[in-house]
Amino acid sequence: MKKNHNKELGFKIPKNYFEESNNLLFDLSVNKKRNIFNLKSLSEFIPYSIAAIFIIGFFVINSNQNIDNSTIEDSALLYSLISGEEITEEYVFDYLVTNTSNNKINYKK
Amino acid sequence: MKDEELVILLKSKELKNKGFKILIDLYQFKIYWMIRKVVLSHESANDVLQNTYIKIYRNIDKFRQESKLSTWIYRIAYNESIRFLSNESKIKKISIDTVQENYTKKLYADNYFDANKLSVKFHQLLSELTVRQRTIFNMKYFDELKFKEISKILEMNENTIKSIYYDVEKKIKRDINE
Repeated sequence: MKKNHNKELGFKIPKNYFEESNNLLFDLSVNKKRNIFNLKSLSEFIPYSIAAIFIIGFFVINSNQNIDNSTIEDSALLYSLISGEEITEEYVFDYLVTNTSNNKINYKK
Repeated sequence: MKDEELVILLKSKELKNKGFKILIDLYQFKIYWMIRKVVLSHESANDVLQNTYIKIYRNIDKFRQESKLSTWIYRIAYNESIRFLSNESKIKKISIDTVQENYTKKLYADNYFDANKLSVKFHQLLSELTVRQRTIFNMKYFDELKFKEISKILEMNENTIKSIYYDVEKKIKRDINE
């Protein structure tokens, strides 16, 4: 580069700029790459995290849900969904007996 | 070291960092001055230089050797410089070419600008050009790149570049001593 940036354009640089920025450029480029890699790895867990939040949220909401407005059948259905048990006549009968004894059932008016 | 040898190092997993150190040594000076003439202040040039090297390191595997390594590097540096100007003009809500006043402000705000008679006159003439005209002039006059290489960096027709350069050079030579 024959032209003089200082003489013609008045551009100056800090003392030892090129010597000092040499290592900095290397560290920045290599470390930045690592940071990006880590961020990518983390991003793979995002869908799992969201799914986990929904599942936990579902259980928390259901465990705290007030069933005052539910019918017997609705409550049994919800319970069967959580417990994974099949709804049979026997299951509904057991459910009614258990919950009636705990005074948790409100009948539809 | 030849470009081909350096590319082999840069594309090797074990020797990539060694190759990258050599690449910094080889191009740091040239890239810095190319960027500085586009963005003007030292601080901005330093930021753009860092971003350029980060991009080079991250994308070296994508370099397909269809052009010279230097052309590919200058292209990244030029794109990063334009991206910087673009962001700057968005923040200040001005067009990238509406910079004559902005150009002078940036120069005088920079601690690393020596306002001598020749430099002030030179910048006054450069500030009257569009970013593209100025870039072409700087790449040819100061960085001494060949027209062919400039055309590849800017993705423009070589003859158009020649025509722009000679027009600008004529104007600057005529006005510099006025």
